[in-house]
Amino acid sequence: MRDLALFLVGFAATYAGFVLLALAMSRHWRGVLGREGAPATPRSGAALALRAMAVALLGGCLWLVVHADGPSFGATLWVVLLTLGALATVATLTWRPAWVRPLARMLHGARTDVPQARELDEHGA
Amino acid sequence: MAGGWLLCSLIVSWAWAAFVALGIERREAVILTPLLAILLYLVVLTWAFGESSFTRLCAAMALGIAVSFGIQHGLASHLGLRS
Amino acid sequence: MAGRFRESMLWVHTWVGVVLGGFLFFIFWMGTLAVFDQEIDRWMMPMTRLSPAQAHYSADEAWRQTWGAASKDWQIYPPTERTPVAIVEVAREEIRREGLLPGQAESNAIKEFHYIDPSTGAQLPDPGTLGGQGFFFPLHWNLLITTNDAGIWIVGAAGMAMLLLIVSGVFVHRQIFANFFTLRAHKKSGRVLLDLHNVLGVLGLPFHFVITFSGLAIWFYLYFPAAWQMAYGGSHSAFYEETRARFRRPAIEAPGEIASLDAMIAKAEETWGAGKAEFVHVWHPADANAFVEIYRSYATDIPLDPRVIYFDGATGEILHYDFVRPIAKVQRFIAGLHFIRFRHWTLRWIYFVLGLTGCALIATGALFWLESRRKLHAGGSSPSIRVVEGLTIGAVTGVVLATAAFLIANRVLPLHVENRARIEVWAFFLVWAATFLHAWLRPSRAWSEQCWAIAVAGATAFVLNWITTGDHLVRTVSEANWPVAGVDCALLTGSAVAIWTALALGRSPAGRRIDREPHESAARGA
Repeated sequence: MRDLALFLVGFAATYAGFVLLALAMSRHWRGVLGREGAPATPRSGAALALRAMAVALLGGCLWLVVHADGPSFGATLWVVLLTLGALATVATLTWRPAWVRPLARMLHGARTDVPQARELDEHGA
Repeated sequence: MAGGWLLCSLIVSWAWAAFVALGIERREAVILTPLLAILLYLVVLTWAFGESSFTRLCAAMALGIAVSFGIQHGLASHLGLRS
Repeated sequence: MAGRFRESMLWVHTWVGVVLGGFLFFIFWMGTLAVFDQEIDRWMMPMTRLSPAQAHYSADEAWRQTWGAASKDWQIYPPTERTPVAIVEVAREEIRREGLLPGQAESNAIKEFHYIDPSTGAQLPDPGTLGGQGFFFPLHWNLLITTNDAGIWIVGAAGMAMLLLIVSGVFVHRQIFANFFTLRAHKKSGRVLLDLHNVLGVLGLPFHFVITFSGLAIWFYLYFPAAWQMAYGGSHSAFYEETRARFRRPAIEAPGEIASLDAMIAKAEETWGAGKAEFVHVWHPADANAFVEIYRSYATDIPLDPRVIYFDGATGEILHYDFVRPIAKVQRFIAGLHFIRFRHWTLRWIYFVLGLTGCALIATGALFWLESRRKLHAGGSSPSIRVVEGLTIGAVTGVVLATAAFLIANRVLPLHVENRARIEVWAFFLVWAATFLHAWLRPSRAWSEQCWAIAVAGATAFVLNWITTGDHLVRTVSEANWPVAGVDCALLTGSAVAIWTALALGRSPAGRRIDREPHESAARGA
């Protein structure tokens, strides 16, 4: 039971981490939000935040499994979980991009809250 | 391919003694060297297949084998003298 | 320069892949099955489907029961979680131990095998099968070719080729990170196959590289023997004893007796502190110089380091207990990563799944090559493509079908049939040969037909297990008989995947291509 819980949490962390990493890439950002006329790329600040969160998730997963299963089992488990999480991300982006859309929309929405002028300023700066 | 394996085998045949001379236990050196040789063989294979000039490939391989064989031969006679 | 290098890498990747792809698929497939070899054994040996033994188990009792004192060599594997029976191997004649494989060079022909129910002490009937550990596992690493370790060399060469494929694949692949998550499923089948191949190759790279390298690292002393041969004057046993902290002493041809094995096991487990005894070997029984070798279970940690303790046979005192040195321990760790003898069910399942992705990686690579060749020949079939396609079909779907045939034969043959184990092996190889023949005779239909055959065979094996043993899925799950339930679930899942693949093949461009071939269309019209 504990093993299963650890696996699920670890898998969720790597899966979420890779989904965020993929969203930080313009191809997948467009692939997920394409039809809504969103900008071609996430704002550079948002992309950075996405990457930072992804690294935190993947790193957190390593810490968790090493803490729970010891260094040798934990490190091994982490490496294979990375592969599983990334494969799940590919499958999601390919066949079920809608699953990720709310997340992307949330990030996108947060972006549009910012007044247009300030955004222009930022781009101008 | 066979040349690369021969080259790595020859390197193994003296490199373990070099590791022993560097202070690694004999029982450790005889494991470390073949393990590294597997990776070395991979590098040699990649290089050999990537090398566009066949002449250069043959020359480098022959040189490597000759040098290794020389070292190995020298080592063997050295060990032979000692034992 | 860089462009030329990449071109040569593409050339190597293509041709090594075309020539060895089928063989590598076979090794990966057998390795994937071997992840659950002991569970497959429970499925194939119904008499050993016991619940993990809680009862106290006595090695002394087994020693008396199997006339250990009258043997030349006596070994016992106490019951474990994955194999809940005690297995005793007895040799009545002197065993000659030669060759490089300790304990494996000897012929099994002169050995008796006893399967003992640990809770009752009763001897179980002979299982009459090689099972997962006796068939799939050795096929994976020596192809059942034991002469001069030739099988290990062949598999080793293939493993080296796999490493070369991985490295050249990395060089060939443009934009690894830009295409990290890219799978364009809506594109043409050639594109999809290449994307799939790339995604599986890149994302699975750590596992595939480590599993291949560790497979080679197990046999480091065989592939590059120069170091130990020079250091130990060619004596493999001297090398083995020193690097693995082992101990040997010869018989002195004087009568002797063996003290209590149970007491020695207890002392060994006390010395280790944690971990149970997994293997006990009595050397020279009935000799005054007899000694007992006790291995610790591999369950608790990754390194394949059994911390062997040696006892004097007559007195039961510890003769020898040493530890392996750090670099040797690293080698044992690498080997342990490959063998997964450790107890970690999550990792075991992930290994199984990633092993399957390895199979898929190889298969998609081969299919992509076939697809692009076909385009080159504008839909027509050249003889060379036909040969490669036939070989690929037999190597991919054929070996899966042969595996199912092996399981079906196991459930169809009654236990008392003579040479039962051998007939099962024949069933495997005959069905496999037939799949190649089928692929050659019906190249355009063979993929989907063999997928349908796999679907039927998987379901048949499931039903046969139900009929012959009464262990259907509801019962095995409710009784927590996970090995049998797991194999049954894998069979059903395999069937479902095969049906899905067969249906997808019917819709794919490859299927439509077939429609263009006139005689096939005519045959359909008829």
